[in-house]
Amino acid sequence: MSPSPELVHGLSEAFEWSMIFYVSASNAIYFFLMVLGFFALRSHRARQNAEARAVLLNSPLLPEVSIIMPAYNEALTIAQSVRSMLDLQYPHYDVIVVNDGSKDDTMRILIEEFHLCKSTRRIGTAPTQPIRSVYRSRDPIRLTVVDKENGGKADALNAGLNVARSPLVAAVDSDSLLEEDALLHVVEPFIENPGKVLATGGIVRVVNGCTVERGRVTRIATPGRVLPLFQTIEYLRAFLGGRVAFSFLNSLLLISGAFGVFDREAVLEAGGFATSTVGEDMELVVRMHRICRAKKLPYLIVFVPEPVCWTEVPESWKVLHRQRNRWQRGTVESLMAHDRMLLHPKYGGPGWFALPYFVIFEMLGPAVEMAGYLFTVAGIIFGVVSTKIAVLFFVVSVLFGVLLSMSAVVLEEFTMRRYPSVFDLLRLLAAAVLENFGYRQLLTFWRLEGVWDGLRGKRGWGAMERRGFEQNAQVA
Amino acid sequence: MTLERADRIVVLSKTLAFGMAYVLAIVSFHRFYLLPRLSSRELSLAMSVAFVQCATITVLLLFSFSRKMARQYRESRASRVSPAIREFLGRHASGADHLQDIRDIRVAYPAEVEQCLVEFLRMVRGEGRERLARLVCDLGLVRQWQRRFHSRNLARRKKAVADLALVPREFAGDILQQAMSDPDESVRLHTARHMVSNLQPGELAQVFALVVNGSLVTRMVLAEDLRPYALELAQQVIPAVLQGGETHSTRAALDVLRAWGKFLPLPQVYPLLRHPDAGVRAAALLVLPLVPRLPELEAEVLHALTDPVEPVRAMAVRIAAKFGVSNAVPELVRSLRDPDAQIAVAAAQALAQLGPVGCRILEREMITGSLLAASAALEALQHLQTAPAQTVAV
Repeated sequence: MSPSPELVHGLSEAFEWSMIFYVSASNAIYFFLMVLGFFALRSHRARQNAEARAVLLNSPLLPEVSIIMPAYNEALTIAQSVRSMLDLQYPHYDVIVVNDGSKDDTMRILIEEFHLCKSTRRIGTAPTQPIRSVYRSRDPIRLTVVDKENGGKADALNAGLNVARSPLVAAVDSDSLLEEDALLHVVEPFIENPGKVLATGGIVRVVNGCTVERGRVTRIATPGRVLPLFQTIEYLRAFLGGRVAFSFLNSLLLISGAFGVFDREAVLEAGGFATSTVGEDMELVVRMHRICRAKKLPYLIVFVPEPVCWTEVPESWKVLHRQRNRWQRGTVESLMAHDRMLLHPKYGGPGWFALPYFVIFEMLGPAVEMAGYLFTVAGIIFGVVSTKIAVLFFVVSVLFGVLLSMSAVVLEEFTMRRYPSVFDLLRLLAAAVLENFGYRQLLTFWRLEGVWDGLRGKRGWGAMERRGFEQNAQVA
Repeated sequence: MTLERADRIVVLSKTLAFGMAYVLAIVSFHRFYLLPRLSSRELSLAMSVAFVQCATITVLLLFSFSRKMARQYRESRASRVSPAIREFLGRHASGADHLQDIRDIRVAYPAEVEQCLVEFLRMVRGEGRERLARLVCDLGLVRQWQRRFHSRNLARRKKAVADLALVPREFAGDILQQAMSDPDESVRLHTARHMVSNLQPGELAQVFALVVNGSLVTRMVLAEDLRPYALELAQQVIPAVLQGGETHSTRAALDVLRAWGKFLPLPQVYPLLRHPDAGVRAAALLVLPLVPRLPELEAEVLHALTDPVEPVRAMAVRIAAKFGVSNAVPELVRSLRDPDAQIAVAAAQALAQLGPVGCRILEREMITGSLLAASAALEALQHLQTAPAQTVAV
């Protein structure tokens, strides 16, 4: 017996309404997170004192920091990245580059450029892939290079933790550039709340389109190509909106692997970076929340809006596909590894708000959104969904997306104002509109694929094709 | 980004207020405008949300653009009139009477005159400064700054403090004293920094009280500002804090001494080596090289080498090396075999600092010691070989 057309129509409309409700709720929550982020940012900026910060730089009381840079096949950018790291404005820090079994010339370049010789530096006991050698520079620079068998980014970070001796460690991607004062900004919460802050993360921005001279971004501009421009909008939305608000609620679940500072003891006590996931940054932060909440310890995991880490974003669809698939897998793996925290009273803000938000909107979001698109198109073709509901779905999914992206640009303009030209602002606004027509849907599909791969337990990192900062950005 | 409780409440209240206004706007637009025009209730609601959001963003964008334009206009206006204002101010500071001219300019360009005056007050010293300070009073700017200090806006309060600190205290009134009790620590820090730049009798102790009672950031910043007054503070203020018995203040004072890195006559540090708080003991060990060497030094360092708390022991190991405490060798060897890597490494470096005696022990330990002791010994010896001029960092 086939179901009656009325029943099919009714069920279809009910499904479509639930999609509309879901997408509206997701956008509304994100919008209010952005509003919260906006007020929090303004309050934070009123408290800033640039003169005092300059004085802080002379203080011997600033904690020491070890910057750990895992590198895998980074021959094109490694020398410039390390040089830029060695030139930061911070009185007490050292740089530890971990060559994670690169197959290209990364190690040779490091040895030649920085005059490395073998060192007898003692290594800690956290388990990692075998270490071939530890090097130090003959020059008067605080650089240590660890050459080890390939074991993935988390394994390389653990090797760096083994070699580091400072109370704070900064995990920085070797394809990223830090602003000169970034380290001081990101260390400030540790000195404002001594013994309480476990980790801090900073804003990551897109370097494509900017002018880079000797490892420093000297002129900020929006990318000339469409793909990096769309990603610029995504980065603004994620960092200025979501993370500021989650940090305000002490429910920040992700400190970007591109730039984060951790209390070394806290990381070691938590068991180091997990090698079983590609989302080691998120997994570690969620684990820290879990441990501290379970032990009822006072703690803070903080997002700092000022420090800027510039990163090269993919300019090819293939590499972007791989990256987004990996990010989504990382999210799924981290959430699944800590599913017990979900709606558990013991885990407070992260358990009641951040994790459910991530599960419902970040993990399941792509599936729901994709189902909505497919069902709406099929519904119109087969005549089971009315045009009115189809238009409504379009309004909530696309128009709200446009408005969220534009809100991110407005937030940037009202708070940080890093893009000086009006032309850049207009380009960003145009991208905020255009990314919702095709690009966002494609990302949704890739994220859905990532969720599927994550649930299947697919492993692997995928290669990122580097062009070098000065090729990708404008050559000075 | 960490905000204080009061700020968090303000941020949450503003977000809630915005949320309520936003929902009200959507409902009103839906109910009174779109619903009568559209057949579908749901479509009307969705379009209302989209419209209100669009309108909000448009308003914000327009506001943002107009602010940018206004800033540019102000800057160009200032660059046009500032030379003339500076000319008058320069002449006035050097003795000529241009009060009326400046008053006249101020009618049309109040912000520019104020800005130039503040710049001049920062640069000019002596009689010229006094004349400019009187001019500030005559123009009514002091009253304006005093009013500004009572603003709820943090940035305005800080600006008011910075400006008032430039004029003599008899003109500024007790605003700076009030600012030292401001509920916001960043305002107190800001005030203290300005007080230090133009200190009055009795204010040094007041600023130091903020150093020892404030947060670590406040301590770090003010420690640098107070560096020129180290000897003056070491006469009465610091000894009183060190002998006061209050753990937080004692530790803060020791931190300041370490930050200064100056040799100061403070024998009051020695009793703190037996303080019940481990943090104070470790901090006292750190500043030991900066105070006069007393006969009980060796005994105190040897005692610290057996401290139950690991970081204190590690610090004691470094200090023993720094002072070349030869009686400490057995304790250093024991520390080299300590399972805690931090202590083992510090002990190895300390032994390396002791010269041939220590090096022989390290060589022996490389062959017969545990993996940790051997690797620490090897590293210390290599460090000694490659960097003979460097001393162990304390």
